[in-house]
Amino acid sequence: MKVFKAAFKHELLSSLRSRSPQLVVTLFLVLISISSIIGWLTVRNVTKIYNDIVSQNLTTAPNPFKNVPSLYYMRDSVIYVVLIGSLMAIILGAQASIRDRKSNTNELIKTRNVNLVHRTLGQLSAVGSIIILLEMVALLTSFISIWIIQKTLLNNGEIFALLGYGAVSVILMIALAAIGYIFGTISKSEESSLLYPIVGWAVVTFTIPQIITSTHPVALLNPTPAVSTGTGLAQSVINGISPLAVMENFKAIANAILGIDKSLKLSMVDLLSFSFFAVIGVVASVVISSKTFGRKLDA
Amino acid sequence: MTKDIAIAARNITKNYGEKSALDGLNLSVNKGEIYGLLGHNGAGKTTTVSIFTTLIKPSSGEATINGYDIEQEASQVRNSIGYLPENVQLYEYLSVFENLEYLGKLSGLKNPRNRILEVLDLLEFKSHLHEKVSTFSKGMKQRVGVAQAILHSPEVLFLDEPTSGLDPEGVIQLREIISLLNNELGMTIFMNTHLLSEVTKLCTQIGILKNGKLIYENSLSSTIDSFDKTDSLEDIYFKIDGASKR
Repeated sequence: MKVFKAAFKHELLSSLRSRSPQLVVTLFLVLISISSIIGWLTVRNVTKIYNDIVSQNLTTAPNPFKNVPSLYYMRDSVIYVVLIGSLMAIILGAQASIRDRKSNTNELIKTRNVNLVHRTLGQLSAVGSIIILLEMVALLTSFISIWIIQKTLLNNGEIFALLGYGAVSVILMIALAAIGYIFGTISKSEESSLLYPIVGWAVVTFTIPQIITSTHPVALLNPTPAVSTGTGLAQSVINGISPLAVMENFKAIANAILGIDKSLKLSMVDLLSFSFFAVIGVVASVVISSKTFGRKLDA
Repeated sequence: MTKDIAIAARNITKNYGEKSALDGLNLSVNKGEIYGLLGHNGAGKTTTVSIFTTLIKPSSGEATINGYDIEQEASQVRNSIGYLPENVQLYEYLSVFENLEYLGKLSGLKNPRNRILEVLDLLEFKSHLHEKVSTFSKGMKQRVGVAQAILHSPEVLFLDEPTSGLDPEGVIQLREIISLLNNELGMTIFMNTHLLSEVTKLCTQIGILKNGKLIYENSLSSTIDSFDKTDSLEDIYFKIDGASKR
């Protein structure tokens, strides 16, 4: 327990004083905090254009944004979690495990009786705490922004949904931090500790949705999950790789919680794939890093 | 094995692929001694210290620290040793206290604050308690390095080239600290060095390592007595080293 507490406190101090995590944390916080304002600006501009068109008698269709749910304004934050939040988590995790090898302080650790499981759990808990704190700040900002925009407070159900969305976002980011931690432990250089998980993230975030949607480019940056299109062999391939599309699974769960697009249904595959990814990520990081401090870094 | 022996190595070998770093090393260090392990660069000095401090495992042979086997009882060995690596690295962005608090807790200290203050007082470094390590000179970092090594009151202290890169003032200060730890706290000190001047001024016992083999081991006084009175330790070193070539 002593090692857990020491590693936890040390990781908090180190992450807060290191420049790369500071930068990406700030970026994440700023973007996710203004996401609801961006959502509001989008609705306002589209409504203004719609009103102009209606005044010119060019359409009789109803305003597509009329009566949008309050949490609709959160839709952009889903993308920021997938893009910036994921990268932030990978960097925080990788930095946590590579720090001692990078600064050559690992000999001071290795000559002490350090329980590696406790140390890993302490470091991951600290990274998790940072992620939870950031998500709480982001949710609070969103809550206040929506309150100001709509001039009414979220009701209990919406607050519950907001918290649920925050929890799922935190789970995704902690799992990615754990994967970053694994690569920080096994990589031969700081660059490769970030490169490999980021390439993996890019494949999961961009390439797999492209295949699922048969290269429909809109899938990449949509806050809602990609809809698979294909028949025969193509559909079999899509069915095979869909569970790997963790970011799409996350989008599906977030969509179900926030109610952005009610026409999309949450499938059991999305839930199971996402849960499996989160559990495997954390367990693998503890198992792998409990065996080794990591080899000497390349010069 | 007598209980007065702090460090003992029997037939230690260490191979890196086909290259042999240590070739049948045998040595013993009594408790309370300051042992200087001399040798050229690449002689195997750092490998020896790395094995004694449990950082690496020997390819064959046995070694004990305070009677504990370095492989079977590594945990007890780690509890009874302190280690100052060559060019010690610390967490630059943390203060002296934050560095020592973390390392003290990893050493098993429940509440290291008092012990940190005690150690820094001993090393006359208390006034720098809350300063960041990144602002320190090499000599100052070396003091923090010594502090982290002795925080948990180890019985044996391993120093790998402790004066490497220090300016003359830093060398003198570190020498005073090593003497203090040996005289006041009774620590057994094992230091690697290639500086004969340090050995003359500090060590009670010396060993000379060459190509992974210990070619000489004796007390410093006996060593000096057994050669010409006009010989400096440098002359003696080269006589022993030269004799081993024949």
